[in-house]
Amino acid sequence: MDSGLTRILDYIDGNMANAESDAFSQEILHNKELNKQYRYHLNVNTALTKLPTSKAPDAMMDNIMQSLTKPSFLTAKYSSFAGIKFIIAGAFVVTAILLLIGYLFSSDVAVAYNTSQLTQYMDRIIPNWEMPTSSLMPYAPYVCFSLAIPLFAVLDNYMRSFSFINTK
Amino acid sequence: MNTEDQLLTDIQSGNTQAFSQLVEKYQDQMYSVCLSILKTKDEAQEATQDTFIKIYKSLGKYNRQSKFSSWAYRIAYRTSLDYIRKRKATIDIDNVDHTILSSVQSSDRQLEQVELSNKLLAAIGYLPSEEAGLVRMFHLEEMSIQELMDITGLSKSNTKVKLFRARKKLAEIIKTNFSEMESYLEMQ
Repeated sequence: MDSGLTRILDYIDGNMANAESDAFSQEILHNKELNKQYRYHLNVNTALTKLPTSKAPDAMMDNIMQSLTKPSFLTAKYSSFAGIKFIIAGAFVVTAILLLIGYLFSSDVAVAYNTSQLTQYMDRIIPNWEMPTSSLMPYAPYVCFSLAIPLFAVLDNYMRSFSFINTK
Repeated sequence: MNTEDQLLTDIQSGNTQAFSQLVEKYQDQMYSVCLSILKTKDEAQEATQDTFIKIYKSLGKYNRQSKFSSWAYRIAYRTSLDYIRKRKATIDIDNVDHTILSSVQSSDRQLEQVELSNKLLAAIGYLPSEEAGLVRMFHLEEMSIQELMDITGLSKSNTKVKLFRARKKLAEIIKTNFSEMESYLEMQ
């Protein structure tokens, strides 16, 4: 570093020890060139300290408050990680739906007619509708699991807007 | 509990009105730092808005033992640097409109002082982003090196060297590009 300027700035900032500061004061008095440099940097420093702040745009406050009151899943800028999370969740859902459709239309599905109230109701709406109830049961947990993922992702994202509460 | 502590407690209990008071109090300071670093008004506005949203969301992580303004400056400083990293096309420092920073408005100050402030802000605009932010924060709040270290996350020696270089460069910029201001400062 430039030792002359370092000393001037240290003197201005008050970072010198008393003895060093006193010696520098004397040096400034007797060295015309050093005095000129010191005064220049002192004035730059003073002017910088007096610099007013730049006025923030009027719309800023409204924009900030609006961002905070909107549900976060509408306003959040998803990071790449969050994006991947949603793609994976979406893939699960699509796979689950495809599996379900494929299974329902499969000729291998054994039709187990059930006389539950739902079946009777569906029969009235769609004649000849068949409900392969018992054969679908093994797939139910997987389907529920796949559907729960995007639900948790949305919930998680929504709750992040209140993350400051009790996180200390 | 002082007023600011009360305000922060109110915000943490979900009072958005209290948060708007906090924004009102600090928006000009945060915007000034973001503007010094980013050098464009639109980006500075976005970065400042992001800063306040981050402050709101992570207020629970703020340690009340430290100075709130330093914590807020740290978020503003890092958010601005993130904006620079994310820029698709780097702004050529020579093409930046340096007068964009010089938007000081004052009705009761003397014209001479306003002109000096505008030229000084324009001179800061010539500094590289990180250095401009350091100089602005150092003088805006008359921060100590320790506070700057907390904000930037740099070591003591690194902070001192960067600040020294920035101040030296600024003096050179004034001499090279603002000779009228140099004469004025020498005469004071």
